[in-house]
Amino acid sequence: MRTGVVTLTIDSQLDHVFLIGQAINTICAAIPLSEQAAYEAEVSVVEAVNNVIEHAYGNQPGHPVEVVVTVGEGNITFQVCDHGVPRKRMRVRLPEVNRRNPHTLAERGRGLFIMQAFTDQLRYDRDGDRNVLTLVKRLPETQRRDP
Amino acid sequence: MELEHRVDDDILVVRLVEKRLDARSVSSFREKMNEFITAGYHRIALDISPIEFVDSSGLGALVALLKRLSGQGDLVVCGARETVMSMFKLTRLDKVFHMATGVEGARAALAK
Repeated sequence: MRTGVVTLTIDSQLDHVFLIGQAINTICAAIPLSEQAAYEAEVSVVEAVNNVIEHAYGNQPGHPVEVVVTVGEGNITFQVCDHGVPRKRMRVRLPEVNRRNPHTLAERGRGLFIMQAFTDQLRYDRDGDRNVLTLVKRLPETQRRDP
Repeated sequence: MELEHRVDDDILVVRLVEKRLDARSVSSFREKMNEFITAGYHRIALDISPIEFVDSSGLGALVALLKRLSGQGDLVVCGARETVMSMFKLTRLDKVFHMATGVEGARAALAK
């Protein structure tokens, strides 16, 4: 299969995140991943970029958010990079679901859980003054061999 | 966020016209749904069949709507595509929301 690297950059505005999402979905569809797998990759990266804008940059525009997409032999890797406030912790937890009492349902806090569930590897690193969240999605076995 | 709506037998049927319910669109979605509730519509069938993408912000907006209606009305979400449904299942919100395959199913559930 063909491999390669592409870097996508948007300004730190939630209004622009759909551009990253649609580009990720198109790249995944071209590999080709299934519709479900492409969706999982798209939503995972969108969650990561939303987090950068909301938490690392405090919803302030004017900062670059970079997504490096690497299509490798056996996996596709997304590195979401920023120069904002570093994460203090990575708490991956699904908010409690109490079907009998909807008032207890959380309206936020599912993003990291979704990222972890829909990818095969999730890692957070500090690289100098840069924050890098790496998400790896393994490709199906049939797509790891040359045709 | 563009919404289409109609009222059938006291049931408000709302159809999301756009393809994405995400961090960009949730504010206007919440605002418009709150206007419906304030206007007195408390039994709502929400047709999300055009939605191709929902993220955790979109799910959060739906949770907020469910909470707003809880105790004073009812909400049925219908028409979710498989990919969108996978988000509900992953987060176990499919156990919380009343989900129907189509608008007629949603209307029937709300008419009971």
